[in-house]
Parts: sequence; C-alpha cells; structure tokens
Amino acid sequence: MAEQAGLSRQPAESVLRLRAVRKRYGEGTPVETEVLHGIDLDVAPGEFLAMVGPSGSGKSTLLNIIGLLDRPSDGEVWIDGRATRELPDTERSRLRGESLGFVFQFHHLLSAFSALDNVQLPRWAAMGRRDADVQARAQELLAAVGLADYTQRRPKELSGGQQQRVAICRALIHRPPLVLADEPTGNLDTETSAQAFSLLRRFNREFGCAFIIVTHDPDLAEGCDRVIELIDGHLVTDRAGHAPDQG
Amino acid sequence: MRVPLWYESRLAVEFLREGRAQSLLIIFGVALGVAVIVFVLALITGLQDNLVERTLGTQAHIKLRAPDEFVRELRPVEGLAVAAQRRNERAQRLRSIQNWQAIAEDLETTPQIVAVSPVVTGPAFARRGEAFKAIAILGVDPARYAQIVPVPDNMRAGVFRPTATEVVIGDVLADELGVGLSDRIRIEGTDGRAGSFQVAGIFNLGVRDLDERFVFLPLRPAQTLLDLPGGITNIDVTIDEIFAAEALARELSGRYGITAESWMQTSAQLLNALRAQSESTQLIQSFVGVSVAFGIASVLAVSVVQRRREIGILRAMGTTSNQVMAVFLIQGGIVGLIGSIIGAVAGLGMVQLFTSIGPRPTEEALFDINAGVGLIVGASILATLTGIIAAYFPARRAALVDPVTAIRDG
Ligand SMILES: Nc1ncnc2c1ncn2[C@@H]1O[C@H](COP(=O)(O)OP(=O)(O)O)[C@@H](O)[C@H]1O
Ligand SMILES: [Mg+2]
Repeated sequence: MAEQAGLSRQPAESVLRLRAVRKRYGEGTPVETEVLHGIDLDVAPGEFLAMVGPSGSGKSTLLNIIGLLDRPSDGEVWIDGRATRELPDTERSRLRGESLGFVFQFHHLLSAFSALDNVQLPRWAAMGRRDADVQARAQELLAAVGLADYTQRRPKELSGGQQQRVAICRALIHRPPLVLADEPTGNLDTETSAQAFSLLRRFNREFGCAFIIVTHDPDLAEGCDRVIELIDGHLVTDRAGHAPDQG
Repeated sequence: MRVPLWYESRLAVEFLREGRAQSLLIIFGVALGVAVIVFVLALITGLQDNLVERTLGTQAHIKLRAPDEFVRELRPVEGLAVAAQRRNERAQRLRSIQNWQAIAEDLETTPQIVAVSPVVTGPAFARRGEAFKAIAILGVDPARYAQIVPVPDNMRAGVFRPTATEVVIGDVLADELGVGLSDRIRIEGTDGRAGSFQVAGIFNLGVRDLDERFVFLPLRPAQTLLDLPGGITNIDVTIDEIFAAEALARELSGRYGITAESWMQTSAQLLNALRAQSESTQLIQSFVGVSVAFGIASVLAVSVVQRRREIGILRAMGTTSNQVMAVFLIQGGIVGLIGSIIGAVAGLGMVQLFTSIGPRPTEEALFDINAGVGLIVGASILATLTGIIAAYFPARRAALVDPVTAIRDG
C-alpha cells in the first residue's frame, strides 16, 4: 500500500544531495550578505547525522533550504533523488509532506487538536481524508514513545518532554526518508533531551529514516553516525561520531 | 479517494472552536446584522403585501369601460358657462360598452384572466323617510362580482345576494339612513325612475367612500334604474399576476378598442411610495451587509496573525498555500452560515413578536411561513457567500505566511 511506502521505498543513492548551495540575504541591497558559501553534502538512506556549529553559522538556514521551506540563492537540492529547483510551490509542499519530517525546538503542536490528531495531521493534509491505517499507526507510535494513555490530551495538558515526543511521532507518521530536527532538545532539560534523542535514534534504526539533527550538545552529537560542522557558512568538518555504537 | 475540502474544513472548524470567544462574537455580529435585515425585509414586504392586498381588496385589477368621447363640438362660442353646463350633461349620460357580451366571453378565454364581471354603475339617490343620500348603483352578477371584490367575506349582516326586490348596502349608508336588515329603502335614478327595495345584506369593505355609497343590485333592475337596458358600463377583471396588470390593460385596450385601466394606474401614488420604500430598505441592507463583511474580515485578520506560527507548522508538514487559504475562506463561510441562520430565525421571531404586541394585531400574519423559510434560506446563502468573500483578504495573507519566519519567530 502507498501508506507503507516509507518501508518499501527503493533506496535512492542518497536521500539528500546538496551541490554548491549558497544563500544570500538582502540580495541587490547594500546590506547583501552571504550566509552559506557553497555547501556540498550527500546523506545516505538511514544515516544519522548531527549538524553542529556556533550560533549564527547558518545551520537553521541550511536546514530550511533542505526542508524546502526556503530556496537557495544558488545551487541545487535533491530530495530522495528529485531535483527541487524547478518545482512549483505546491509541488514543494507535497514533496515536504511525503518525503520529509520536521521536529522543531519549540514542539509546535497545534493546540486545537489532540495528541493523536496532531500526529495524523501530515497524512490528512496529503490524503485529504481520515484513514483508519493512519490512525492505527499514530496510536502505535504514541504507544511506542510511552504516550498510550495521552492520545486524547491537548498539547496544553502535556509536559514539554511529552509534547516533543508527540512532535517526533508526527514527523515519523509517514516514515519519511529524511527527518530534519532543528535543536529538537534545545528546550528540554538534560535528562529529557537524552530521552528524546534516544527516541530519534530508535526510530532511525526501526524505520530506516535518515536524520539530520542540529544540536549544541557535544555528547548528543558524538552519539551520531556522522558529525558535520558549519562555521560562518562553510562546511568545515565532516567526520564519524566518536561514541561507541551501542547497537 | 480524497474528500474535497475535508482536511481544510476540519482545520477551519477546530480553529473556530478553539477561538471560542472570537468566533461567538463574530457569529453574534453576523446574526445581529442578518436579524436586522430579515426583520426589516419581512416587515416591509409584509406591510407592502398588506397594502397592495388592501388596495386590491376593494378594486378590480383591470377595469374596462367605453372609450372616452372627445367633446370636440364644444367650443366656447356661446360662452364658458354654457360650455361647462353642456359638458356636465354629457358626463352624466351613461354609455354602454358596445358588444359587451362578446368581449366578456373573449376575456374569459384569455389565459392570464381569472375572473370577469360585467357591471353597470351610475349615480342615484337613496331615500328613507327624511334621510336622502347620493349613492352609486352597482348592478352585478353577485357570484361573478365576488371574484373581483370579496364582498361576501366582508358582510356585517345578512348575505351578499341582491335580487329584483333586495339590495345590499354599506354599513355607513345603513347608519346614515337609519336602516337595518329587512328594512325598506327607496332608490331613485337621476331621471326619476325609482323602486323600493328591502335590505338583504350590509357590508363593510373598510373604505369609507365605498361603505357610504355602494348599493348592489342585480344587473337587470340596475339597468332599469339607470336607464341603460341591456347595457354595461364596465367589465371588471381579476388576473393571476397582479403586477402584470398595466401591460395586460394596454393589450386589452388595443384588442377591443375600449378604455382599460389597471389598478397600477389608479394606485400609481401607492406604487411609487412602495418603490421608494424598497429602495431605502435596500440601502439599509447593503450598509448592514458591508458592516457584517468588515466585521468578519477583521476578526479573521486577527486570527491569521494569532495563528501565524501554526500556519508555518502546517506548511512545513506539507499543507499547500491553497489549502491554508481554503481553511480561512471556510471559516468565513461557516461564520456567515451559522450567524445567518441564527439571525434569520431571530429576525422572524422579532417580526412575530412585533406583530403580536403591535398596536393592532392583524388577523392574517404579516407574512406566510413559506416566505419565512425562503427568507432563511436566502439569507443563509447570501451571508455564507458574504463570509467567504469577506474572508478573502485575511485568507490570502494566511496563504502568504512565510513558514521560515513564522516558525523561527514562534
Ligand atoms: N531573514 C534573514 N535576513 C537576514 N539575515 C538572516 C536572516 N535569517 C538568518 N540570517 C542571518 O544568517 C545567519 C545564519 O543564521 P542561522 O541560519 O539562523 O544560524 P544558526 O541556526 O546556525 O544559529 C545569521 O548571521 C543570521 O543573522
Ligand atoms: Mg538556528
């Protein structure tokens, strides 16, 4: 079934390919600044990757470009083997809904909907209807993150850590080939952020989704397969994580 | 397999439910506006129908009579006084419609015409002892005339059944002559022909002039009293579409070469007043409609600002900008729909209340229930469209929200 596409997908050579990606703000004005200076990057299916770097180095900008929320000034972005530069806005939205998952720093759940509905929302947008399989999967995911008893709760009635777990389930409901997380634990205490991080790792292993996680926490970064470092809009480091693989 | 607009409607409903105070406020605003519109509309159309009905209750839709004779030979050669006197004589001489039987028969087969009644009418006097009143004789076939003016529905006493020896008169005349049912009165034509009649019925049409002057007789005795044997002074006609009267009158006039006067001509002043009233009602309605639209637009604009972050999230999760736009258009439509249904029902309730506590409760309701249902349906459709149109600009702003800044600024 199409809904199981995340599992049966023919692995593309890379889920993400960036070539010479540049981003300039204030183009054509005296204050024009380039914040990304030609980024090349390939991410293989199932890779678990940390992006680190000082504040203002361009991590969020790059992640937004990868997530098709923003367009590069130059260069090309392939998602799951698809070139995106010529895609019209609606197609980019659809590709986002089918092939990408997002986890943000501030949970960003919709307060009007229950946890269960929040998790299903991306599929509702794509399918245009309620679906029993989707609901069952959302329920499973919430149970897997320990929220089986909280499916009908509104975000307001959940703790920060619980909200972030719901947001993680939402990003994974369609088992996208690539999940983008911008400081997903930046707003959580150490213990909660370790829990959230291990959840991401677990879904990475279970579903085979690739992850790009922006983080300031060196320990969490070293727990990843691969670490890239961005400084002043340049990709300066690209290496394997140091922590022993707990398998 | 896609259910069109299911996702967008789901979001719209939940957004409205969550912003309960705002939603209720704007729904209340729409309801108020629609209630005012419905109230004014129902009242005005009700009153207008009532006025027209009253006007037509005592008058034929179309009245055919012998063509006016131009008095060309009368020139003021013998002095003005003589001319005036001659003209008076001429005016008093009744003239019959030529060949009226054939015309009446032809009228009956005309599709738009519901009823046809030949009438012979002219001036006369009624006498009872010392009392002496100027009257108008109406010689009619009672059954046919009842289809022109519903006299039988307006009887004070007795029945509307004039015979060779019985007349039906108005209550004002009865009071002035001091007669009751079965009393006798004497009726004298202008040239001395006279007869004695018993009062078989007393009517009240609600128009003083008619209740004071009309005396109904059968055709034949009336023709005798008016010295017009076998003659008819006019043919009264009832039609199915009252506002087609003027056009039809013109056509009939051309067809038979006689004068045809529609109620719209005789009541031109009333019609002008009604038209002016309708125009001012429309003005009020459009003012209210525009304010309601601005209300919806501003509340939704606030909602777009409040939900910027959530819109950004929805966009990140694959919602297209068109879908976001639809979410807000639907909100406008829902608010318009719910508000207008509440408002229309409230407005009709107000009309009901108004008519029941009004100074003079009318026997017939001001409007019938079908008109009420029509009003609710019409108002709902119109208000839903207004809501969607009003939501257009806020919805466009929502569609243009940049997800990057919306999420970052969250
Ligand atoms: N909309 C914008 N207009 C101008 N400059 C921007 C804009 N967004 C980000 N920047 C600049 O781009 C640089 C990179 O920002 P960002 O990607 O948010 O960094 P990071 O996420 O690594 O902290 C910063 O210097 C920031 O000031
Ligand atoms: Mg950042």
